[in-house]
This record gives sequence, C-alpha cells and structure tokens, in this order.
Amino acid sequence: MKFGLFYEMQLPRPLDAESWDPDAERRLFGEMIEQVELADRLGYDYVFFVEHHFLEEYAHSSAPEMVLAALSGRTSRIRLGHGVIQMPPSMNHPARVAERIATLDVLSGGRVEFGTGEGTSDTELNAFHVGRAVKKSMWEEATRECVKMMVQTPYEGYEGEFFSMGRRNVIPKPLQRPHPPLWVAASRRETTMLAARFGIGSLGFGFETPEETAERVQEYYRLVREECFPIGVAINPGLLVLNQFMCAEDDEEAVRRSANGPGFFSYSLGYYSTSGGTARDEQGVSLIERHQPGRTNIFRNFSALPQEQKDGRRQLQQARLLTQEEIAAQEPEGETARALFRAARSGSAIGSPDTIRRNIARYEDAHLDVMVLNAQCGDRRHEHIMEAIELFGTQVMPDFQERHETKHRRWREGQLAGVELPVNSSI
Amino acid sequence: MPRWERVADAEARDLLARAERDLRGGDATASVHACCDAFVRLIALRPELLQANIPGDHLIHHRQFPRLGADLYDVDGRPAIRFERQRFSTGDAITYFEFTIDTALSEQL
Repeated sequence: MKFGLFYEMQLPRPLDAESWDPDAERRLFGEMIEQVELADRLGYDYVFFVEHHFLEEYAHSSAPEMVLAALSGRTSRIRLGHGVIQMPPSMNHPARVAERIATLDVLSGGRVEFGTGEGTSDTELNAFHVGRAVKKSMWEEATRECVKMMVQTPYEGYEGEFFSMGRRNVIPKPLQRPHPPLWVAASRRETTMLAARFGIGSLGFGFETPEETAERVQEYYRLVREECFPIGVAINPGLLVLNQFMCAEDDEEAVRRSANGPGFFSYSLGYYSTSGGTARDEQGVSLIERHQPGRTNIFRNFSALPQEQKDGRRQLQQARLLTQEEIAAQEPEGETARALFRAARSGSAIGSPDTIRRNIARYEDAHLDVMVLNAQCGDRRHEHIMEAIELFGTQVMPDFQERHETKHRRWREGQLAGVELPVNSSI
Repeated sequence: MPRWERVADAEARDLLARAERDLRGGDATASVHACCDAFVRLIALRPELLQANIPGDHLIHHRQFPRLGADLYDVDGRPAIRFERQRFSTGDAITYFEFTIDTALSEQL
C-alpha cells in the first residue's frame, strides 16, 4: 500500500465570534504547506486536494491548481493530486483544465495525478448551472476530450452536447506521456466499477471499510482485465481509499487529539452534500435550506449538538449510509474505548502506531493500492497534525511501503496479466 | 464470469444481459432502458425496493437508484420510470447497470 494526505482545507468558524479573524486563511494555508513539506521529506507518496466552491468551513480548497503549483516548488518527490477537478465545462472548460494540468506537470517534473469528478452539492452545481441529471455525462465528455487535448498535436476539435471547440493546439503538453494518471472520484460503488471499465483509478472518498474494499478490488481488477474500454490513452488501474487519521504516542492521546475532526467532517459534509443536504434538524428539515452565505456558523451549530451526535455516525445514519443494525452494534462503555472500538471496526487510522498498523493491515490484506489520510479536519491543531504525520511516516508507513514493492506490485502485475493497453500509473 | 450471470431471476437476468450487450455495442441509451426494465422487475419481486429507492424530502443518497434522467417514481404504489432525457452516456449506462446488478445480488433475487 502507498500513502498520501488528503485536504479539504477545513476552517471551522470560531465559537466566540461571527467570523474568522483576518489571518485565519493565511494561517490555514501556511500550516498546510508545512505539513506537506514534512510529508514529502518523510516519503509520503501523494497529496490530494479537493476542488469545492462556496462550501464555507467544510472546504476552503477552491483553487487546488494554485495550491499544487505552490507545492511543486517546495517539494521534490511527493506526487501532486487533484482530488478532484470538477469537470462540467461551465465549472472548468476542458481546454483550461488541459493547460493547467500540463503546466503543473511540467513545473513539477511529472508529478501530477489527474483526478476528475462531476460535482455533488446543489450549492455548487446550481451556481454553475450544472444539471444533476446530466453531470455524469458532462464529466465523461469533458474528461475524454481533455485527455485528447493533452495528447493530440493539434487537438482535432469537437462538436459535443455540452461544449464545442474548433481545431487548436492546446499547449503546453504534459511531461508524463501520453498523459498524467487519470482518476475519478467514486463515492458510490458503481462509480468504482465505471472507473474500471474506463481504465482509470478509483478515488474512494466514501470511507469504505476493509471488507467493502476487498470486494471492490476483486471486481474492479476483473473489469479492467475483461471489460475495459479506456476513456484515456493510457490506463491507470488502481483503487484509493480515504481514511480518517490521527496518530499519537498512545491510543488515548490519539483519540483526544482526533477530537471532533471526523465528526465535524461528516456533519459539514452532510450539511452541504447531495441534493438538499443530509444534515437535518430535529424536525427533519435540511439545515442547508436555512444557510445564510457568509453568516451561518456551522461549527457553532455542530458544537451545540449532544456528544453522541458529534461522532459522525448520526450524520451517516441520517444519510442512510449506515443501517440500524450497524448503528446498534455492541459498543464498549466510555468515550475513548468507544472511539477506539469504532476505529478498529471501520479500519480507521486513529490511534497509536501499533493500533493503526493493526487497523489498516486489513486494507493491505484486501490488496488496496493507495490509502490517503484525512489529517486536517475540524479544529485540530497544526502541531498535532505535524506529529501525527511524523509518527505515522516513521513508524507505520515504511513497512507497508516495503511490502508494496516486494509483494503488492507482484500481485497487481498478476491482476493485469494479459492487459495489453498502455499504462501510466504511479502505483 | 460476469456478475449478471449470478442473478437468479431469469427475467431480470435476461434484461441485464441485454443491457450489457447494448453497453458493449455502444448503445448506452438502450442499455439504460434495459436496466430500468430490470429494476422494475426487481421491484415486482421485492416490492419494498420501491420505497427504499425513492428520495425522501428530495434527499438523494448513495444507496438509491441513480437519478441521471431515468428517474424512479411511486405512482399509486407502482413503480414508474420517467425518462427526462432522450440520450444517455456510457457512464450513465454503467451506473444504472452496476446499481441494478448490486441490488439483485444483495437482495438475492
């Protein structure tokens, strides 16, 4: 298994003020750069940044191409991932995406991972006039043509349903040939299978469990072998899973430092996600309907919840992502014990190095290719995130990375035996 | 072995086989229509699937029948698919296809 960091750039509003202090965003971005520089020195393989718009507190990463460009000059090895670019043409014209990806690839010495997606929240889709029913078709058309722009000299042009453009030579061309590894965001299982059929990597942003991952890995690689008709020129077979993360010297301290990170992550995701938002008040009314841009303090609303509603599971239940049976699973008494129990059950990377090693080994057994860690979320402290990155990077990651080279690579080659399509993959 | 071959119900299996043929043949729109027919067949076999796949309070979540322009409705207790689009993409077709197979297999139909 390879490893990376994942950033939404969460910035909860302060509890004791109506808005952030003027320096808050500069501080957030500055701390993130320190974290990624450290990860680069320690040998983390990837960093991925989302692209979201207007999702206050949940995601301030609205211009990931700028962040990745800054990081390209301050890091030397870590691969720079879009996780993801929203591909509907009214959000990002395919030619502009091709230009930005290629420029970043040239600047970074060929370190770009080209993650794509279709967008999900009404807050974003409506602002850019993207219809929910057609967003997947928009993604497909834009991604297919964007890749052609990177590889054709000149690009042949296109008359499509969602955008048209005449014959042009789109420059520069990426350093990685024929194009950087392609990925798609997959929070639904069927999108992972779509990724397999299109020959691209699956960015599993649904916090899949080790058991879910094991099933998906097998079916994904079968589809790549047997039913792949690539959307790009080179395929990038691979599965990535996003996991919650906080590492400290002992379990209790890790749970304490993890604090409300995963809970606020889930709450704010539910607040904005899909159609109408999944976070609801006690009457079942979606909270997003009362949202006042630039005013509503989501973190304050979250903090006012009873403790048992802050751990993220309530939001998952409301979104019907967990069944009643899963919610009712036997749990130990005591907050810390319960948090560790849940982390172990879901394969989360929260705990001491030993605990995390044990929890995530189940993903390795499932033959997962890449795990990215959600370190920066809620109001976690920068110094705790730095220590977590260092502890994990020195005490947990190296053994997994070594087995990636000695065992997993061979397993993956076996899965891809007989596949004659060109491959460009960093896995 | 393709997963649709593990679907027990012969009618649903045939519809999914047709959906896959259409998908491979490049006719995504026909594939989506076959998947919708297959899903309606699954609801006939397991009626509770209808309510479980209708968004409540316009809430869409990740375990429901996709709403990409072939949308499932409850019309007087019976399933109805409304096609909001004339044409579907390959990605749309794969999404409907995989979801329908997942449902059939997880419900052991």
